[in-house]
Amino acid sequence: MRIILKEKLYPLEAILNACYSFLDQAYFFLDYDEKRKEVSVSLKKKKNISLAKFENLKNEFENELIHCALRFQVAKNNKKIREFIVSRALFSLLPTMDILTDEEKFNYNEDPLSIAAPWEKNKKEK
Amino acid sequence: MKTLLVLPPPGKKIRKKNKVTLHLKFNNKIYNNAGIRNAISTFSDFAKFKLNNTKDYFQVVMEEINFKDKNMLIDEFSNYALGASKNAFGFKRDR
Repeated sequence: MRIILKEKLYPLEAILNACYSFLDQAYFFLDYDEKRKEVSVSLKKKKNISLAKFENLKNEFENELIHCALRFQVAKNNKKIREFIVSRALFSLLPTMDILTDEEKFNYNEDPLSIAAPWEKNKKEK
Repeated sequence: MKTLLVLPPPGKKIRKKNKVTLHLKFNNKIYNNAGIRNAISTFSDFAKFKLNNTKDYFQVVMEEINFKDKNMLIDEFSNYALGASKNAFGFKRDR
């Protein structure tokens, strides 16, 4: 049994993933046509698999191809977002550095503009 | 990685070594060097292997085959090479 797949529709990674899922049920042999940009997948039945099951396997393999191709496309579209999330998560684990100098550190007890005043004093004055 | 090897243990050692030589070709766009070498090392008990590289293919030569069912050996080797190539795909692809 032989299936011809266009590389434009089914990326190579997706084809490999789909074949890998069925390696325990059939023998796979892949070849690539450089001119036509096509991958040919040859399937051969294993001895412990019945003919009916092997026929069904072809349909399942084609479904799995679509599933893997979609997963590949989604991963490609979300690549930048995933990288951003992971780098952000790793960055948050870094220890914070104290970048203020001693002169720049704010001391709340100092009140150069005399802003702080007890509310009782303000009430009496009114 | 899945345990794919389902070959029975090798049969009795034959007195005269099998002189049949098998040639397998693996497209280097799909299979990679690491995967092929991994398969060769796994199947080294069943035959003597040689690996040659051409522009588009890896050529694997199997000699002195110590297994009864040659077709099964070829099929299992091809499957193993495919699985090993897929696992190595995420890393450097060498030709």
